Amino acid sequence: MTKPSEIASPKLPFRQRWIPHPSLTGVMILLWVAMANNFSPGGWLLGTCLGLAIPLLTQSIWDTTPKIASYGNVLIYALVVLWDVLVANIEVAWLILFESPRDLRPQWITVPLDLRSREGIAVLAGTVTLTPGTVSCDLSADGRSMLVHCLDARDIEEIIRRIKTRYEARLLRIFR
Amino acid sequence: MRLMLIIAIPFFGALLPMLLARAGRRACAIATGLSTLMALVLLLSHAPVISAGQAFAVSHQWVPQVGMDLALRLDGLGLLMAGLILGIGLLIVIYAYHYLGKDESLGAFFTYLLLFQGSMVGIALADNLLSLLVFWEGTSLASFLLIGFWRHLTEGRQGARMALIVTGGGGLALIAGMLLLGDIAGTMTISELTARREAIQQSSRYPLALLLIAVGCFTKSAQFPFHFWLPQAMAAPTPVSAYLHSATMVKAGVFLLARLWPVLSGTEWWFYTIASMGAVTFLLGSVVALFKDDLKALLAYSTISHLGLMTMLLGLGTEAGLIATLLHLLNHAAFKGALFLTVGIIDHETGSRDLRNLGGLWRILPITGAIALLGLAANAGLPPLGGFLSKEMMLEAVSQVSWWGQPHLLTAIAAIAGTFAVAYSARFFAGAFLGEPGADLETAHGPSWGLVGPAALLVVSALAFGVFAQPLAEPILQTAVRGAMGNGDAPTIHLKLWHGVNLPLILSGVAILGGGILAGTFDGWRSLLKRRLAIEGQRVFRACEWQLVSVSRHVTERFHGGSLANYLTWFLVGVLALGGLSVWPSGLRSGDRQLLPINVLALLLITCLAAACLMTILLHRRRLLSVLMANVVGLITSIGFIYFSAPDLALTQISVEVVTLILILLALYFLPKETVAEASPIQRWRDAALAGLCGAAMFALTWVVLSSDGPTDLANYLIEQSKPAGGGSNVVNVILVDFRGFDTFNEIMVLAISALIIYALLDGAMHGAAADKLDHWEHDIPRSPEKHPAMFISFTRALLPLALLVGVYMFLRGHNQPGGGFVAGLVVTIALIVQYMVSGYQWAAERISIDYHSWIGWGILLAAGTGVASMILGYPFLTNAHEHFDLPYLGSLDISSALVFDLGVLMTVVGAVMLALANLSRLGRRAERAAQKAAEAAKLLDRGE
Amino acid sequence: MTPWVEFVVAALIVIGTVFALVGSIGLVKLPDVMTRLHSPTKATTLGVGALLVASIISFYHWKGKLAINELLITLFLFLTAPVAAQFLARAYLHLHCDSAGDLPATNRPCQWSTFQCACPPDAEDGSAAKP
Repeated sequence: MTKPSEIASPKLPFRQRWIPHPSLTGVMILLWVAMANNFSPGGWLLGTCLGLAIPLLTQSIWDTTPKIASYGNVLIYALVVLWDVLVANIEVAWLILFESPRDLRPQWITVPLDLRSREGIAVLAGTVTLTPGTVSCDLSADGRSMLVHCLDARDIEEIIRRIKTRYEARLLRIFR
Repeated sequence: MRLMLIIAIPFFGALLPMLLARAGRRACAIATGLSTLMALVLLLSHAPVISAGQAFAVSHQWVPQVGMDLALRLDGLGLLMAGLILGIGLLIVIYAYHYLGKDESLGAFFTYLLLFQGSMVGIALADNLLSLLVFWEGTSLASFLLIGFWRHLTEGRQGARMALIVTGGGGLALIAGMLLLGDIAGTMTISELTARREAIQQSSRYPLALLLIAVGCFTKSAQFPFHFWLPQAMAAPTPVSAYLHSATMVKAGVFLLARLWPVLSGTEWWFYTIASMGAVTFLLGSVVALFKDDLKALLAYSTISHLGLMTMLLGLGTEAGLIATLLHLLNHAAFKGALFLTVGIIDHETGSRDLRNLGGLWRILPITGAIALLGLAANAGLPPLGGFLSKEMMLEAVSQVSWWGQPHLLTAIAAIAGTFAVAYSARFFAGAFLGEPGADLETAHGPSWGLVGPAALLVVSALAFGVFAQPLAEPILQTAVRGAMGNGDAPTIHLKLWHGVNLPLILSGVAILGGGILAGTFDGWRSLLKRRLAIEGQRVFRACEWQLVSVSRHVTERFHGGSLANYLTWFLVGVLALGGLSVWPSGLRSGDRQLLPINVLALLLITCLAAACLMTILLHRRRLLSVLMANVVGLITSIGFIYFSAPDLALTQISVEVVTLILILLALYFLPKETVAEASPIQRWRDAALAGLCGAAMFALTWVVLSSDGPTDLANYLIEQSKPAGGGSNVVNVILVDFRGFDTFNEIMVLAISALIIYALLDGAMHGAAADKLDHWEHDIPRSPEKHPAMFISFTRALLPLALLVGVYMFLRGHNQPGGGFVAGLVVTIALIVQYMVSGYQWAAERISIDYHSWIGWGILLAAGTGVASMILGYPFLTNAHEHFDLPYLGSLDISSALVFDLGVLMTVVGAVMLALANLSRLGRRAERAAQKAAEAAKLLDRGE
Repeated sequence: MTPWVEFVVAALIVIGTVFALVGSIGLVKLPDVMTRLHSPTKATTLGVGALLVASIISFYHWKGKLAINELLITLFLFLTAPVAAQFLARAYLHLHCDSAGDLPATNRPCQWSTFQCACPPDAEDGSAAKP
């Protein structure tokens, strides 16, 4: 799939040439053994092959490589989001079941963004959608503001503060 | 084995000129000449044994079920015929090399020529009625290609078409006749037919078989009333005319009659069919020939006439007739071939072959003139040439037979035809070579030896067959007659130029005198007989052709008028009628299987399904909605599959739904979003009734199938054999790639074909009226200015490697668990489509450089290759080979050839779907680009693409 | 041991189905497109997650097979749900909203991208597979 010229560009050092995205390779290997549910050496071997081959094959679709600064923060972020998803589900369920639709105050809000990394913004948007009472809907044309829809916006400031401190601040530490 | 080689050499040699086309004309000619020479030498190496009265035979099974063997048998008759074909073929190769222009594709010409040669030798040597038919059709096809070789000429194309239709149609009759004959005789082997002559001739089906075979032979040998194609075929290059239309192909009919002579001849049916038609053609051809100004047309009618002569002689059913036929076959090939080549030289050197323009060529082309003189003398039957000998024998044979009780009628016809033959021969020579040269002939120059040589050689042999009849022609004839008669009791032949004064000699004298007078006074009375004589057959043919075309057009327009609703109506009516017919006598019977109780879940599912179906129909005017509803139907169906524990099917169904939905939506973009109500109420009721009937029929069929006990043995067999025989524990996949692998193979072919059809159809939309519409497209759905939202781009980038991983997973586990090449292909496709949708076609196409056409091709090749590999190993097509390995530390590994097959499926699926997508987006880009077309063009120019 | 496992599995299945049901109820009960969008993005993720955990536990306990790969289904859901939601939201914005009137200001010198092309440099080819 990749244009040959892009693979075989001889100026790159070995690692960058054959393992252009080490984090992706790692994720691929882990995903493979988990997906194939095969933790035998053979499974790891095949996973490694795929983890090396697929990033090479799909290299051409990445114009930029996301740089991940800290893997520990990724883990913490994942756990925070997981917890929030749990809470979000219960909150929304509560709202749906026991609140009259008339009492809901759905509203659009604008969240200014400090994140610049495109991948970071994508993750933030995803998180906002999965977590309590908010769905990310649009970005401003220059990518500096996010349009969020709130199901029940009693305290707009609190929601914006939450998004910015709880998620965006963490993401800023992950995506540099 | 050597016999097989004689046929194989021309056929395989036919590849050489094509391959050598780049190596130059000379290489092509040498390759062709060598192939012909090798075959000829191989053939002649058999001659000594055959002239001793023996025959060679070899046979290979071909399609034993219908009695078709590739059986060859070389006897005297075959030797004569094959010798003529190869010998004259060699001369023609030399002649054609010098005759055809420098800018003509000699490679193609020689390839066709060798294909023809191979088929022709096949006819001469075939000993099986069916394989003879194959070669027979081969000559028709090859001659079509050769006649139409100058495809820029309208007459060439028309002539080729007419020849193909007439000889091909005759070929059909011949097939029927041969099958009948084989059925009557109980054998398809020609050499065994003779022994069953009595039984064959007493059969009530004998006349029919004879007539059908006669039609085949008459069309091939241009006998009245099928003679009209031969003059038309003269649009071919002259070497072709000389080879096919005088020396060899047109003789195939005569040859076949001679071949079957010992089996079929001697009855009244034979006599009155063959001899009468032959006599009519004989007379007609020679009379018409006199009125032709075009030298090739003159020779064409002359050929028709001589072929009539031979047919008539065979029709007599007497040994004398047979002997005279074979002698004339030999003579005619020599002198008529020479004459055609002479005309070719005249045409080549002067640029004209019209008697009204030509004249005085004797001074410019003396050698050619001499050749023509000798050839024409033989044609007219003058001593001491071979033609004289065979004509004398012909008159002798004819004078002994009475026709419809008239003892002298045939003799009179023969004498009159002979008189005209002398006349047109004289006219040919006098018109072309004597008198004053035309003004534009002064520039003519002497031909090269390559043109004159073959003609001279042929005419010298024609002379030698007469002068040295005893040492030269006699043994050849003797061998041929012995071969033709089948058994050893052939009479001994003595050829003599001087028989003393007898009836034939007197008649010859009269003919020569009369002919001279006719030719001398021709200009005086030609206007009395306008050209009313010959073209009737042609006119009838043209009228029939025109009628056929207009009827076909009418029928096509009636049924293929562009209304999809009509197509569907006819299709459904047809299906209903056929289905109804097939169950008509007994009717469908409900099975006696015990019915299962309905549970709530199933009921719910079915209710949803029915509701979704109903919605699809009710919403059908709003196309987007109805497409979505149809998708809902598909999704419910896949839930149904899960309910019945068929995860494979569910997986496939869901993937297919996704892909088709995307493609249909893309296609729908350029179509009206609402269906206009254009059907009248009556039509709507008709359609509703038809749809209801179809639904009812499907219900009935399903009911019968479900309520009967199916072949449970089969199901159990498949489940039991899945692991041991197919090497996989997923029965569904093993069925797909192994047990029913051939079905799957055909299905991916269908997929590939549909993709190519989509490609062709959408490519058509890029031109003409549809393209105009695209160029003025106004978007009927409001569009957002943001085409490539950043967030989607980020997500889909991450999705591609993930989806590829899932695709690999689905692919690899397919043999043992739900998955397989088809699903994996769809998963990969979806991942790719998403890239295209989110980032724009051009962006994605620049980065994902897959050539979808070749993916389709390689996919099918891989799948076919797997199948063929198992055939090479001696198993049936697509038998799975699998091996289980226990590797240290790494775990177990199953390797199966089905994986390669599945990879082929995957590639075909990806290629096919992406090809459809690529072409739909081509439409999109065209509409998009209409406004900025000029700018784009300038940009492309800048880039230098 | 077994009764506890059965209890846990049963509880998880009930929780999962309840959340799935709530998602569906939300679709019916909530008043407009944008509010309805909230229920499938959230309620179903937990519902499916709970069902998958139940499946993993039961298969591990009764078949002795640890099926980690089922967790990946949740992961894929987390990846796809926001994208689907944003697609729907954008379609809604595009068809029913007017940038000036219905939406808050971007606080930037530009509009929301549904109404103004952001044109990132790599997508600047002026064409789309999605016409």
